[in-house]
Amino acid sequence: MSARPGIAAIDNKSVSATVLSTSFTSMRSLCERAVLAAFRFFAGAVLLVSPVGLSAGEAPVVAASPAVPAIPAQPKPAASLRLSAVFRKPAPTTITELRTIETRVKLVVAQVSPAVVAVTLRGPGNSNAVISGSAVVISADGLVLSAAHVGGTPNRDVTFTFPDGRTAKGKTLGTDHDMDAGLMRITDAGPWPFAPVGDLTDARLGDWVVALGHPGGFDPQRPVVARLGRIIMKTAKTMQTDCTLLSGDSGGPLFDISGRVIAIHSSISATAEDNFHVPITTFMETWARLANGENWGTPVLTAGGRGRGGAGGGVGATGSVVPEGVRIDTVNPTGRAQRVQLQAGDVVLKFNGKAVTSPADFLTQLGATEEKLTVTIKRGDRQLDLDYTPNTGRGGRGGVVP
Amino acid sequence: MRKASPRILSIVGLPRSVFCLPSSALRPRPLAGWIVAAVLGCLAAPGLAAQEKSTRVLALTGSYRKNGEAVRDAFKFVSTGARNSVVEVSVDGKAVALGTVVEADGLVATKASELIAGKLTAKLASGRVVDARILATDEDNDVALVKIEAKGLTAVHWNDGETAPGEWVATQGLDTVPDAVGIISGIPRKILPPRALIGVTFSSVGETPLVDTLVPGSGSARAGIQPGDTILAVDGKAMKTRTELIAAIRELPAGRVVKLQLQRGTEVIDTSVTLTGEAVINAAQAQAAGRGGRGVAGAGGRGGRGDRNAQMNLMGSGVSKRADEFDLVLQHDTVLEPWQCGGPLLDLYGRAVGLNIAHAGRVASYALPAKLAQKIIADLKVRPAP
Repeated sequence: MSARPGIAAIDNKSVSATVLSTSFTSMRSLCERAVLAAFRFFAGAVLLVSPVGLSAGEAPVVAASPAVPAIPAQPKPAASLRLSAVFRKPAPTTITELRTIETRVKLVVAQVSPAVVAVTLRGPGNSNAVISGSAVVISADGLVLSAAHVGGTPNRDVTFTFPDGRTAKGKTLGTDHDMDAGLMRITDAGPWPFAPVGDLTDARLGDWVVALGHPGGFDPQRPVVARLGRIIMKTAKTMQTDCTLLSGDSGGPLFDISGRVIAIHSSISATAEDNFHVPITTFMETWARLANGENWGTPVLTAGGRGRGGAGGGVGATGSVVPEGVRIDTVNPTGRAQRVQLQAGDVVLKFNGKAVTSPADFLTQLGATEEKLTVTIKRGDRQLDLDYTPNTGRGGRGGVVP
Repeated sequence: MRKASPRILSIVGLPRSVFCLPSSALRPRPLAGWIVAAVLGCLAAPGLAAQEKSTRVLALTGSYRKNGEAVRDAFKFVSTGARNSVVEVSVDGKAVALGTVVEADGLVATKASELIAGKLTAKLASGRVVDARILATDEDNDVALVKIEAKGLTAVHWNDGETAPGEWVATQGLDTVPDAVGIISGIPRKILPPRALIGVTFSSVGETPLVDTLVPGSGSARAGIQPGDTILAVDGKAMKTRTELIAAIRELPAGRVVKLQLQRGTEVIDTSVTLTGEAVINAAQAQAAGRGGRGVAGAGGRGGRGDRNAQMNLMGSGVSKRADEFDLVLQHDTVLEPWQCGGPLLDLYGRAVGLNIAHAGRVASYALPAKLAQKIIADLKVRPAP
């Protein structure tokens, strides 16, 4: 992974805010979001807090704090924290290596747990509903990273509960619903326990990671719940691990094996060990906007993994590779695959006239296409062309989990 | 016995030769065994232009996941001795639980609530299947003591010491490697009985207990409660506010029949409702979950719970029928199926730090700590046969 402006900035305190606010082009953003949505969709991802109806897309609200907080500097790992060779191996092979991992995981959990807070706030319009999620404090004066779908909108009153039971008042700052990144701050006087932020320049597939949070909400009986996993997939915009997550974990931190925050829990999938996180880099790239209390973007997902908007659903199918193309293994009753009239057992030969070889490619394209499309299939002995015109509903953003 | 190998869910694993590795995505270190998968898109490496149609996104192959074969293989030394201390308990030939050998001549502890009526057998690590019968059951913590027709087994080695969050734990089955591995998630704690609910949500207007909706799967509909009713009294005691009513209901166990006095328009109606356990409601709702509605505050009044939470909790792996109300448990993050409970939870020395007693949801499995498990087993041994 090459260095990125946002990442560089974490290491270099003198980099100006201009660099940090580097925004991606709308074209690229759209494309990335489509794929991000596709990833999440395939996994049937669902967000981790109660669906209290996010009111995204409102005009930016300037947050309570007049001073725009800077990104906390990333501490240089001490020499004593240099990683053992086992962390470079595809898998541990001996008990000694397992013990090396264990020692490190125990250390991380013990060191950073005090900074992992539960977040509660009232639903939109100060309704009676209570949203509860997780978050992590990243500076002594109380800057807090969470997920956009926890905070919802800027300038809302929040209560933070620390694992030791202490509570603190605060406000939501900026919320980036495109990436599900949210910044908050504790308004009560600190200092507060905090965890260092890391970067992703070193992060690789297979890295061991520790997920912490408050699944199901704060419970004084078991203050912070620790889970171990590895990075399964990562892009600039999302990260997937096999750490288990549950509602209430949303906004909680994912730590690298050096105890630095590298991502924030965002959504889960149908299987227990496939879950999604917002990479720390997305916070760094949009730091100035988040710190300014801006609110932008549209949630990629809604409750239950169902997409929003006219097209609804998402793709709703799984497939596997066969010699002629891609065989459809399952079709979900509410997805686009069903509307296209694909059936389990169909073998997809072509998509818009082009040969199909990969289920992931095919299903992503099927979900992302906003114009009339044709799927050529073999059903039994017959070859059929299935034509379909997506109803994109929300202009311009139809397609993948619209 | 071994769990199906974890799937790469969102991405399709393909042989390495199919794709070339983008040099920016993997370091030059030899990473034998990493597999590449591809998805169209433009987000793998930040330097890539948006126009580039097909950039590869890498995914870790299943074998190297936390619960993949390659990682579990490192635990084979843990399993070597311990697998002779495990049996698989079946009812009418269907595996329902694992069992922990507590005495070499065939005394086994297992999860009681999984032992439904039928012919009980136990399969040993050697593959041999022997008859089994229940000697005694501890209802409080859901442990059954079972006698199996086998000798020369190895009693499990208990580790009575304290556990710390982050320690590896292995759930041993009959295989040469653990069925699944995970870590201790927190400090030991008591698991309270499930909350009992009337099964209504209240209007948030004012403070009076004005019924807004009925919770599907609860006893409220059967009791004839209707939206718009105001609950005046519980068991003859007047309830002025929602808070007061919620506090009163919280004191009561599931299954209790409670008398309610309702006001409907000008009418005052007396009825009674059976309080429903939260888990029962959750299960019913998860089953019926069609549309993602609002969370159910229920009589508990706590937000952020309800149908979606319940639905999520059931996603990914089966939840044990009995997953509440234990005196003390170690919570760990191992994903288990209900039939993988009852066996020993091992540390890296192959000693049992606990006895797996429930898969409680998406992020939590519970084990009775070694000390408690041994005490229960000792008590069961001296208990007269039923």
